[in-house]
Amino acid sequence: MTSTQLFNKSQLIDNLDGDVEFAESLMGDALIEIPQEVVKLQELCKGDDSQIIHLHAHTVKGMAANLCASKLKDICLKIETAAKDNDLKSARTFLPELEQTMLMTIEAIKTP
Amino acid sequence: MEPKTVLIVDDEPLSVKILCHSLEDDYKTVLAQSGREALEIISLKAPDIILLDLIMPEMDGYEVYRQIRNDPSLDAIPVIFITMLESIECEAHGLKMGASDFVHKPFVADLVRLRVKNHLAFSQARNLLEQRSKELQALNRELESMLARVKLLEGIITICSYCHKIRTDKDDWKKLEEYISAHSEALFSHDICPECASQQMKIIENMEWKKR
Repeated sequence: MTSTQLFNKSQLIDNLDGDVEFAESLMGDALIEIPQEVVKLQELCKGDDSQIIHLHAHTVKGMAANLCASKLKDICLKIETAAKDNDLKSARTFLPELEQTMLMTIEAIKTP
Repeated sequence: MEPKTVLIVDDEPLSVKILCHSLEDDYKTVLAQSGREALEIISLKAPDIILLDLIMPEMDGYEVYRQIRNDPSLDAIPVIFITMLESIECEAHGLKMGASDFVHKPFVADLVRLRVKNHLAFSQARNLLEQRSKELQALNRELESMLARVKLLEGIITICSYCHKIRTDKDDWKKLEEYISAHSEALFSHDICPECASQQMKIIENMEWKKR
């Protein structure tokens, strides 16, 4: 896995009109928001409400997409799709990968 | 001139932050974190354009869109749906419903701005066209009414050679002034012409002479 798959900073800056300051402000927000949202998704996956898991996985996927964190986006898509199909067993199998990817993404964002 | 208002409806904070940052230099941005909140804001003051996330808890973007389009007073507001880049299914469904356009995540600030600008321009042009069309319809109605009044006094009118009464469509006879008043905007005031005045004067003098 390449570091840009985890987090593509230059793409993020390009998407934001080259505004480095704003990109870094978003990255700061992401360092707080992403771990919180991933923990929330893990908690939701302990329950049986597939619709709420689908919605929350979609939210984290959107965050990851906007941050140009494509690996995290992909794993969220897998959970979202499984939850949408009411297949919570499959959705839960992706949780270890989700946590690992989230930690690696956070590290990539922190890396100068 | 007051800047146009963009209502951003999204429950995801990073998306909202990026959209606001992309648009706030040119537009007034208003935020709603749910479909219900969006409908409340719209009912208080309709925005000029709406950026609407499709997947939201409680009320999704499709339902918000349906409710907006069910209100004729909001029917002309452009609505741009927010989706993921690969959401072909969502995009097709949105277009079938009549969505103006889409912005995709990850957002590209420049594309967001251009889409909003273009749809506001289309909307403005459409409003102007509708306004002109209403004005033309009003002028047309006025013209038709004027033409109708002119036509009322067209054609051959039968007039009595002796008393100068006019024969109406219903085959009765009306005084000339009564007929013209009923069929035009003209009004009459009574006076006496010099010739008639002279004749009447002679009659009066003749009557007084007879009395003496």
